[in-house]
Amino acid sequence: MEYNLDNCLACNICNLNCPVMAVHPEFKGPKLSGPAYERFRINASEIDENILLCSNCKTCDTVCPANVPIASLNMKAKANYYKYHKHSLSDWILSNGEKLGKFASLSPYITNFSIKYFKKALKLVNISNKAPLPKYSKKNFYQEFKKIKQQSFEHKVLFYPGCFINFYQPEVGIDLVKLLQKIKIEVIVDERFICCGSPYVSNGYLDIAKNNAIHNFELLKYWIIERKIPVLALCTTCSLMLRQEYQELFDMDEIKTIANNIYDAGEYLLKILPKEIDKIKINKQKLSEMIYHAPCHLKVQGIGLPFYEILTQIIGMNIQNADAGCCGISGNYGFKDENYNTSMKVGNKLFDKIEKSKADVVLSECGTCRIQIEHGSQRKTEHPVTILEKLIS
Amino acid sequence: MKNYDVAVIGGGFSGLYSALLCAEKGLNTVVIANGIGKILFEDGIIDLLGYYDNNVISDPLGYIDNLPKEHPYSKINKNFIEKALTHFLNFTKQENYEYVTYNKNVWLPTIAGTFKPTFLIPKTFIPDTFKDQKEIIIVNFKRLKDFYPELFVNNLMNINDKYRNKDYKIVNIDMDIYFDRDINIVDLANLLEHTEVQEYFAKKMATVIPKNSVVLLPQVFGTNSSYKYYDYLTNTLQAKIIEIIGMPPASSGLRLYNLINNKIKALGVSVINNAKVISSIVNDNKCVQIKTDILGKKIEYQAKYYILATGGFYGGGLESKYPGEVLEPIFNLKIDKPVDYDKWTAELLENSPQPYAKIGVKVNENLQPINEAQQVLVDNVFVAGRNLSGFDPSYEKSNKGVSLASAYKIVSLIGEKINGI
Repeated sequence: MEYNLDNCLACNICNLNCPVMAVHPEFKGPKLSGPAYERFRINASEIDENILLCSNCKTCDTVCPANVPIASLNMKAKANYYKYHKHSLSDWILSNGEKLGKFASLSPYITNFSIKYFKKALKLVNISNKAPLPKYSKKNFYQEFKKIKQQSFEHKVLFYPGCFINFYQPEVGIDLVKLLQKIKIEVIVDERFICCGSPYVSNGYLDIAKNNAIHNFELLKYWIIERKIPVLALCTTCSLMLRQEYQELFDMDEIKTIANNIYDAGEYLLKILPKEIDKIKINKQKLSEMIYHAPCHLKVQGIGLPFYEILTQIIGMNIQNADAGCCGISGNYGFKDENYNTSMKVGNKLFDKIEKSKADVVLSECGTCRIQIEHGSQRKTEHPVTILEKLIS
Repeated sequence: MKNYDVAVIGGGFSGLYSALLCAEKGLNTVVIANGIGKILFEDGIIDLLGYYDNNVISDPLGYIDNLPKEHPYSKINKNFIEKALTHFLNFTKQENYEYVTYNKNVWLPTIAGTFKPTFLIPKTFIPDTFKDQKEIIIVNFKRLKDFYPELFVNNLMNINDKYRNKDYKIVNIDMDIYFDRDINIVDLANLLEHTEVQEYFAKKMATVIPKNSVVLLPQVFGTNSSYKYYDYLTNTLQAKIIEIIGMPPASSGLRLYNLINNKIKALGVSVINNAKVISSIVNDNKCVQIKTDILGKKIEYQAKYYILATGGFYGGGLESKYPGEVLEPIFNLKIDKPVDYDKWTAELLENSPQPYAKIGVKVNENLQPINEAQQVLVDNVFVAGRNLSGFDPSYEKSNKGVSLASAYKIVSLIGEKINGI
């Protein structure tokens, strides 16, 4: 995607909202590390390591009134930085969640046991031993999905689970399938899809991410254009990557023609539920008190907070919106030893807000946000789809 | 797809305040903002009218009858302007961040060492004691860019004898916090949200500020709308402390943004950020839908009423792609262009109006868009704030006053139509 750096008016609104800049005295901030320095990056060997502090949470993009893709400028610069500098082992490990997931899933018990008991060793590979690493599930999503006997309906959607749901929390994906079945929608999966590539991007492996993008794009085209079936994701980082960042990072302008049919699952439900609302039954059951955290990668999509809107405005639940900025984890940024403290400081505002609320459960669409929140505020977390599935029959 | 009572297009002061007024009336409201709008570029004080036709205005409400009929204030009408100001004062009082008014213009020192006329101010800006006191202490911070106390003092001394004959003392405070970059005023304001930094600053100030001093400093009293620490510090030091209006981004602008944004979200307004409205569908003079487009993802919004608060050229509400042509990009409304293209601009940096500033959407007294024949173009669309025609907010110092008053009038009209109230 071609963009004019002069769109940046240097208004500083990104700096005012940057969660890393607010807690890290060395980060020069999105305005400088993004559009301002980009003008001088003629030679990749001159890229400053300060760029590594950017967490790619994309808050800068969310707030920018001039539509400058600041975070993607940073990620391109980060990738160029690594053309002249060595990656740490943690970059490789944290990017390759999918490969490791496939391997670990062969024996999740052993993997989880090893991670638990050899935590000290993580430090050797620059992964924080304090950070809340997710646990591998016994069965992955695709295995669980095969066990479900779905009713067939004319209305079909393709579900893209992404690595987090596939390897760590398949039950969240299953909740979506159950929910969609209740409103007479059949779910299709396609195991040929691979990792969206976002973890590679934030660790500077842009070339690998691009290969993933090209691979997934062909499949997206097949389902959306040939089969006329929309694609849904529950992980907001995946949906962001598939429809927005592929364009920003890899000049894949063709995505524009299918972007309208790549959905965050909440966005899709918000579109169809109001029409179905008379036909569905809502179980008015007593649930625990809840608070909602909007993931940064949802906010940047410009679609509002669809799951929150469904629960509060369509179902009529009373749920507080924490509205306390980034949780700090930003994908796998906070798992790195050198970023752990920054990540916890960023999350403090949110953790405080959660602790002050009476809520027992924190809702959030993003998997790594959920584990960071459990770590930082000691509350139980759920994906909103799980609550919605319980409420609708 | 959801149906709203009101869709507000634009997340600036006009848009957010419109949403607040709608939510207070119980209207189901959505705000759609490009980014988070440009509100953080503002200073958080409410100007009403400082200058007009080379007149320096002390009583802006009294002057409104002298304005030409094309001016937004003339269309809005004094009655609504007064009600809007009262509403704002009551709102800030109810939220424990009360603004102050003198019922005439008040002159505030700016960071350039000049004075600016304005109308409603947070109490951290009250300048009374500065005028009267001979000895003035100016607090500067180590590594702070955007504030040059010597320049501030020099320029003040050039204003008149009263300011030349004061004794200015500049004190430098080292906050002893490690930064590997220059810091701006908002960095300091952010730091001063933390209790331990507040205590440190209070201790440092106690060593350099004698009792009964008058102290001027940049806007460092936090980024949230609270007087708690300001009150604590003035009481402990027994000093008068005055914040100086600074360059954007201003912490006082952030405080006002946080105040309104938190309130509207608490009242259930949906705020959609990073969503640019690119088009509308109008059938039989009625807007039935607006659409956002983010890299090919298109989302439609439907509402009974639409408030267009997209700003002027700077905000993106007006576009000029070809010489002399101006376009309102969402509804393609009729634009008032008071002067020919070759006369759009006056001398730069002269203290005079810029003719192009008066370009804006042509509206009637209800702030509905109209054509040359005065017919309403889209019945359920109202125009608020900077994209109105007939005023020059930078020269007049009337920006937020017009935003506030236009938002108030529009939401009153919508309220009558929907609720009969």
